[in-house]
Amino acid sequence: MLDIPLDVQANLPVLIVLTPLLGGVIATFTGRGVLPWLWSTLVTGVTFALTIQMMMTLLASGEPFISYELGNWPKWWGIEYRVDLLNAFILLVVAGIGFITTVYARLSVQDEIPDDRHNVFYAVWILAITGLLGITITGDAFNVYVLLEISSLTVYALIAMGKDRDRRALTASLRYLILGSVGASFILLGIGYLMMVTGTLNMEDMHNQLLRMPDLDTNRTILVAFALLVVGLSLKMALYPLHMWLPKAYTYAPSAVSALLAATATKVGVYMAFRFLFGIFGVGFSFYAMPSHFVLLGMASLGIIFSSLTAIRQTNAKSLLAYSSVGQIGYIVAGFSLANPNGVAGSIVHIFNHAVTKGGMFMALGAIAYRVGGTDMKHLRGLGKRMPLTAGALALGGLGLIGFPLTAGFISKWYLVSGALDAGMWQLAVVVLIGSLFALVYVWKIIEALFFGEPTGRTAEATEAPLSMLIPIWVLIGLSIYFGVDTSFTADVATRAASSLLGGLP
Amino acid sequence: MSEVLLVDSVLLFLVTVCAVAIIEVRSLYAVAMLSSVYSLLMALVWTNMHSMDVAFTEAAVGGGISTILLIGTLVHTRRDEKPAKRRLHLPALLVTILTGAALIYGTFDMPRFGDPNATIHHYRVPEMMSQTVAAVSGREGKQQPPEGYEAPPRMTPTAAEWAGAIHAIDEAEEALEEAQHSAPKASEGEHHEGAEEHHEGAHKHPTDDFNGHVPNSVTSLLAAYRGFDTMFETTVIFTAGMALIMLLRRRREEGEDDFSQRGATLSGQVILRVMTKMFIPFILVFGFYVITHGEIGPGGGFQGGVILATAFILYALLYGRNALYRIIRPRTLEVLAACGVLLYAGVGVACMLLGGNFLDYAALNAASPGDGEAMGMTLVEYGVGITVCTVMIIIFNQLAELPSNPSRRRAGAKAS
Amino acid sequence: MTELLGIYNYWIYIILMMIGFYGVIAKANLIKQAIALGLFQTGIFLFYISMAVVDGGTAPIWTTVGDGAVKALGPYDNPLPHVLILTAIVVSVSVLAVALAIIINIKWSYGTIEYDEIAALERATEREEGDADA
Repeated sequence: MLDIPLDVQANLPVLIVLTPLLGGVIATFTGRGVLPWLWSTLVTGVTFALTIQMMMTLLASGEPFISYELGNWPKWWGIEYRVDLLNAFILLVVAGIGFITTVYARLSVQDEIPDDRHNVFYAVWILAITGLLGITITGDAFNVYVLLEISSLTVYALIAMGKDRDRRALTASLRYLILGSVGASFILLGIGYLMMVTGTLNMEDMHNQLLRMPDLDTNRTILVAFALLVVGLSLKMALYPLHMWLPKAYTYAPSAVSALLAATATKVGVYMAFRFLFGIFGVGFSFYAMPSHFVLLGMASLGIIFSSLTAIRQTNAKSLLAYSSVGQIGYIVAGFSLANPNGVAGSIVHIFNHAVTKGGMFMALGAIAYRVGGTDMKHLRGLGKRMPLTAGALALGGLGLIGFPLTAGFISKWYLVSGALDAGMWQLAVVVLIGSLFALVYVWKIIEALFFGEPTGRTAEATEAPLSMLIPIWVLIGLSIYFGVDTSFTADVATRAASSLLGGLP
Repeated sequence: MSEVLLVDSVLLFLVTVCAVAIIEVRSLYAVAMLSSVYSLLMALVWTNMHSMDVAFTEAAVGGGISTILLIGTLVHTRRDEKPAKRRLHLPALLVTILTGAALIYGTFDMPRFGDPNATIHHYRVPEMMSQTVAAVSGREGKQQPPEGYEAPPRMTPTAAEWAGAIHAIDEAEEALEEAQHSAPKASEGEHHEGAEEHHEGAHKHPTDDFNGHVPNSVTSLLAAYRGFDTMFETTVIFTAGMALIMLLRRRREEGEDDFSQRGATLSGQVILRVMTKMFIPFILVFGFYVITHGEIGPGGGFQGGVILATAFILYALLYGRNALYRIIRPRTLEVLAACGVLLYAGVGVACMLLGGNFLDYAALNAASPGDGEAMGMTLVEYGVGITVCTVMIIIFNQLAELPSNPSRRRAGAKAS
Repeated sequence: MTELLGIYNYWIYIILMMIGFYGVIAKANLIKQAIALGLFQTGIFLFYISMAVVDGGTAPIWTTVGDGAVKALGPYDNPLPHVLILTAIVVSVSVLAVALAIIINIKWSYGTIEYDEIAALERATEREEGDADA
């Protein structure tokens, strides 16, 4: 080994964010050709390895969390990084998906982005992953805002890069920029209200300060802070009816970007909601003192039903999957707003399951766009014969969306329904069932086109997707099947994380 | 009756009028100018509220850079907003009024404006301001001030009373923490005293506490306590620069030079040309001064970087972008922008290599951690300055870029 | 009177924010929307800075006295919100720059920056796609 006097183990939490940050900045030096992609793969790969190491360290230590004080300032003066089971898990998901989509991206980016700016594209790409990782790992409320802006700014630019294929990418990106900035501003204001009341920015410290307040339930400033944060976070995680930015953004973004976004961006939004609602405000305040129980459950149920209905009407497979994502966010939100162990565990498992499934499906659509030139239903027709492996992956992913037994989607819906029944909310179980039925309809639409249509135009000459795309696609789809059969790891982590969230540990 | 409030109410009235005008005026050039006026008024408001650094930034960014960006965009787009069909957008008005009402509802339980007893003035921040790095030479971490260290008078005299009130609750919490950390704390304490003596002998600085090195406590919070946020702030700027390159740069073939585009210049304007040539050196000197003196007075890497950038932008406005490229090539700018962020993060990595945590500047100088802090902060400010200055020039350059071939581009978009 | 003015300061921030918010929602011109977004954010900055003020306080910059020691001479405003807002201002100008870059691209490919005209063009494209599909 190289003799570097760097204590990797001791500095692990900061290295997870620092590696992609430095890697992203250095990526601008890589020039043209294949080098930018190679460099990004290396950087995201190392980051992924670090998150695995982080998870193992955490599990081996047996502590509830590992804390890292940046600049060695005591945590309530400076900024603290805090890794517990929940965010170690999310870090693993984000870094893993980041790595796999980067491996996948090479041909797709070559195809869709002008070759004189690949270095810049990959720099922005890695910085987007940095932002998402940074939001997940930090224990400081304001740091969340800064990292949120990094991840958003990069994503706006990445979406707009779809402009050479379809100019609507530009309007989609601008609309996301405006709504996203409004959402982030609400979050900033909410953090400001909280800081005014508690005098601190450290999440744990904020939580303790709030619990010390005698008038916690009636203080109007805290109440408005809570409302601001819920609205801002709902915008960021695209909870119905604040999802307006999502479908077009996912549809017109470059294929690799859609895959990365669909698998990670909204999930990190949900994670932020965990941190703010469970960590800072605490379960008691968020779900019992406030009516958020019903508001969130209501919005989630409406989201599941209406976005699935809209998904059925789509003629572009990418926008069909985008609307389906809005519905899936509904399941995740419904799960945690039940605020009981099964519901929250279902929510956490679904973050992982949906990330893997949707990531794989968007990558498969990207491969189709690479070979056929589009993802409209007319492009998909008959592809089952021309690109059997890609079409098969898409179909298997679709089964996961429905929640078919032996797919990962089934596990999360199982938890969700038992959580709903535990809480005596049979209506939610019905909504989940209806949602699954609608999912069956829109997935069937894709399967029908793929396997029962006659190929026309470019589709007729299409050949199977290249191996560099197929492998990442099948890795993700394979994972979604594997974790539908063997649930020990995900379910165990999710149940433990859920019980620590409900225990009020920030 | 606070004098802050009196001046404030007048200024804020003007600001509000200005904001309404920005929304209502239809000539977009006028709007760009109005938003510059708005920012300068805001800078006055910040000054009145004693927030010198924010005022400085607002004047440099809002009054300067944003206006240039807006005008640069208007050159590409159009001069006027299309007249609206309806004078008033009712749904929008309803949403705004409802949101506003909710926000106003939230203000009723807030501490009064300027209330010295507000939680934020007593909890955490005063502790932060009275701590010292002199106690860190043992490298165990930054500690509370040693026995006998007299904290300078901070915020307000009522802090003690308030502290007494919550003391009871805190004690329970501290006891818990004590139990958790008792073992490491004990050894820290021993080290700590030894180190202290050694320190006294080795280096006698009259004010060898951290805050003494950095009289501007905004800078000490910005670059040290919350230095990690500031690193990402620099990254945000860098990201914006990269995003603009990605979105606006003309498609270039391999080896094509940067001088192929000619834009209009003002070089025919003799008076402007002569005056600018005289001003530019002063602007540059002032920019460097602001970057280096951030820890003593208002200013710092960000403000200084913006000021430096204006010198280059002014030059480009007068003599054209090609003249600017002869001084500094676009490629050099990109490399420098990355180097600024790398310098910042590099200081942090150096701290890790020397055995501290990330961005633990005290590790940079084992003999005098206070000096180490000061050195780290200065380096970091240079990093911010370099990135901000170059990215501002990059943004200006990219906005001035013409489309590679507008007709082809439009046709291509239609086809897809 | 002080009480009234004290609340006035918080209310002005809400009014500024809402003027910006109205602009973001109501204006069809994209550049106007971007500028209005800026107003919206400045409102929030005003809230943060107002929170930092202490009666009789001055800027949180210490003074060097006779023997070279650095001392605070009286009550000071809270520096923490100032720091946060410095960061937020930088973020807001970055967002503005990216927004303007996208708007320029929109002008290049749509030929307009009025939202209703763009929406009409997009509806036309969607109709064409629908026809091609059928």
